[in-house]
Amino acid sequence: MFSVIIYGRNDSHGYNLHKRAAISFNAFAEVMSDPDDEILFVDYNTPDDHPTFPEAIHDTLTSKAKRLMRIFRVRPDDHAELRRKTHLVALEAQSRNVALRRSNPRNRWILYTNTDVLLVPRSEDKSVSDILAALPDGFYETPRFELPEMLWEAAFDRADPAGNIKKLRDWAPRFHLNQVVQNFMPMRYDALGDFQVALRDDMFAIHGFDESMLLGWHCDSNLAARLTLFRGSAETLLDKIYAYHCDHTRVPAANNRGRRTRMNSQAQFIWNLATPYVPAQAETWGWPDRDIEEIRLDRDNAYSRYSAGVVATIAPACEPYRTTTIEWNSSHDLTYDLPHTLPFVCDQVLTYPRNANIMVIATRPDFVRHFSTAWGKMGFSGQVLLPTECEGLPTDLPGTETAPFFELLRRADLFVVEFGYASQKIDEPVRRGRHPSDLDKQRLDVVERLFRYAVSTEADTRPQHRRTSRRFVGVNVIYNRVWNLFNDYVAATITPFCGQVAAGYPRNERSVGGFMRRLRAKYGVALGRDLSTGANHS
Amino acid sequence: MSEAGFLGRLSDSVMDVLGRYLDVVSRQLDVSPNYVQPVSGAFEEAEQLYLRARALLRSGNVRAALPMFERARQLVPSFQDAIEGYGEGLDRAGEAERATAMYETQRQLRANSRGPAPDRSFVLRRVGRMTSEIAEYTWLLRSINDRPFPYVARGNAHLVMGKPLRAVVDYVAALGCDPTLVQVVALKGEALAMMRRYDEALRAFDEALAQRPNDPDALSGRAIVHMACNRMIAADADWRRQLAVLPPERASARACVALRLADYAVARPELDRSLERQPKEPYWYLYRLSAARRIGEPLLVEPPQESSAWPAPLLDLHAGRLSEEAVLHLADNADRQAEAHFQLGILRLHHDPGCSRQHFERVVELSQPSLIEHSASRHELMRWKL
Repeated sequence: MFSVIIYGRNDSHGYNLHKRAAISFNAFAEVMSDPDDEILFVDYNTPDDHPTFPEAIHDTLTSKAKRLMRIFRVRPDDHAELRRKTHLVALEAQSRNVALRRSNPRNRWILYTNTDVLLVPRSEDKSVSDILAALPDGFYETPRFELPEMLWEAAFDRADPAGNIKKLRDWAPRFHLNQVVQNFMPMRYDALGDFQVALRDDMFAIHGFDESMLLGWHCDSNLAARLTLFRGSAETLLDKIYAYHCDHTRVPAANNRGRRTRMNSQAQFIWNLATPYVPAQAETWGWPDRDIEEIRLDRDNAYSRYSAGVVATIAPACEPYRTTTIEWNSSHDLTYDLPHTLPFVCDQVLTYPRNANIMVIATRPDFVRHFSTAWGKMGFSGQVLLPTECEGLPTDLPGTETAPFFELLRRADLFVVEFGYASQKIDEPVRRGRHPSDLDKQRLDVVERLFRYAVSTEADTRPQHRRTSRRFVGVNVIYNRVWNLFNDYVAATITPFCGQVAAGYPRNERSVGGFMRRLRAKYGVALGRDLSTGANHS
Repeated sequence: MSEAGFLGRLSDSVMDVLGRYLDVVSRQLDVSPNYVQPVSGAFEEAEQLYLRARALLRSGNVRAALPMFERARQLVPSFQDAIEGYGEGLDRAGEAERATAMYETQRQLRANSRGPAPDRSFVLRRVGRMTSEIAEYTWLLRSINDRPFPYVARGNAHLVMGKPLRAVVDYVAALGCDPTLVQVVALKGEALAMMRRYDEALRAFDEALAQRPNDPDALSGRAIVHMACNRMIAADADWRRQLAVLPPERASARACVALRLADYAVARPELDRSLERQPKEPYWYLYRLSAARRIGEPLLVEPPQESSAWPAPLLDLHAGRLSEEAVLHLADNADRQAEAHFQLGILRLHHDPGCSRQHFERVVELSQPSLIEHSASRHELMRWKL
């Protein structure tokens, strides 16, 4: 019957986002009863190494909400071309159009709302699906009622949507919550964007939301003006549904900075309108040609993929624990516990697109063997790219491709750089003060130079389709002799030694030191050894 | 000062006098009954009552507003604005059950309202509460009178209410705010066509299409003007172009254009798709029956029998459950008479061509050029000549 369209990202927009969003998602699901109903959440511009917002809070969602929710992940790379045109990190019009394009075509209605709203049918025995099923064609709004922050924060149980809706029915008269705020036509009500219902066909006919609205605010008013031109006046559902908004203005948000708030022009996007259509985006709205990932919370979720990958490649530990050390006298020793480290490496890559290609610059063949198995089992269809310059690595693994470094560099979407001893066995004790063999030194030298080159030239060697920086995951780069090397080139956060993994994006240092490092890295390859031919220049 | 600014700055009394004059002139225009709200003394009285009641409700005087809404509703039982206003008043007075009944009545009336066919301009297809819309935009114009939106929105409401002259005044004001609004020029064309000022309408559509040659709404408007001026070849050219630019998802619009061209082979699959999207729309069944009969396809699908309202008698005619005389008796206005004659023309075509031709001629006599059956019949008659 209807598709709810909401959007957001995995950040901390407004106050106590996680609680109000969970309350809201669960409450939407509670009032949906048609088998075709769906909640479409567009996760816009969450960093690639983070899970989407609903994935991050999935444990607080009811099983019904998880079943109804389809998440469309818009990557930072999709947003890159718009980044310079807006101060916002999440764009409403683009998000809502991505969902509209991919909504269930069997549904007659689209409900535009936000992640902090609860819908309360006035008749307790009716769902919102029942209500919409009985409506004639049109464009509908209902006024938004405000909920004091204390009420939803202190009194709502996010796992009990039915109880929350019941509370609202009780609170409405007790706390005088229901105040209808009228507005000029075409808006009809204040804060109209929290409940706008339109026919799916109408939304397609008028080309969705206007994607030139990049500065925040008034997207809802623009839609109301255009649908009012198209359909006639906004009809009310005040007799059927109340919409309550969890107020969240204790702290400023990206789109709400008091007098300093930047907004789309009301004159341009409301009062200067004369047509419902946006012909300039008729063919492109909602990015129909882009492959937007869809994620479900009720199947094939992040944990199931992760465990499938890790379990497939390492056996359970046979001892209660193993030990290592951060004492400085063993910092030269690059042995590490692979079965312990691999789960942390998998954690770093799991949120990337499944078709991503990953370059693994490594010393240890067993690391490559284990990681590539896990990569495939985690559902990635992209290749594990192995430079031929890294000698001694297996070349016959499924899902891997071995080729010269310079051929692979422009195809990699992210990098794993592993610093270990090629000669280390998987069951060997770690950090006991072992020195590298000549072979280990040779392999480490290659890894170091490839790493320096890849990270220093990252911006110049991106695949053609990429517009954002590629991430570098360092394996065994903490509290040892490559710690400084890694952090000189990669802006990594300080991570616990116990994971043995650090990650980040290339530093863009403008200091003389940074310049020299980039120079050394870029030309070090040529000055040291011609990696494309294997000839030694030194 | 811009034209819009000038109009916006006219005093209320001057605007009121101008409005009354426009109403008088509008009533003298024979506009299509498709678009016209009942203009009568009762409606005017009901409208005044509604506007007063609405103001009282806004000011919080619910008790005073309720009887006025009720009186307006009694005067014109189909007056949607008054019915919804009454519902809101009852709701605020704590009579939720009666309020719900009022809202449901209003929604039922709106559901039963039929605008022109889906291939026509979106403006003409709007249904709803035009009196309140006009009042709201008039109110808005007191604050914002130098921007086009309120003029365009109010002009559209006037147009749908069958007041094309008032619509033209608003469109001219909107163009005064922004002369580049080519879409408004096309709307002006629709209003002028409604006033039968076809030459001016044609100029407006030509201007609009010069800048946006693939605007399906303007192509449709110009085709109908051409048809009204007996320029069938030009009309057909516009409809063919409209058909080419309408996207596949607008199947019902595409079906209507094909029907206007009496191109039943094109219309048939589009009608199938229209029925998939709107299985309760009886006209798609009816037109699919017409198209199937006309191209000699077997009639596989039973028409729906949920309602006896128009056009159910036409479906009964096809099913042999109703006689020709009975159908013509049930067709209670000129458009329905034309629709009935068109279906009779289709039914008689194969075994009594002469009778069929007479029915198509009757359609042309009875109907406006904007009716689908009008242009379809003219195409049928042209085939006779050929």
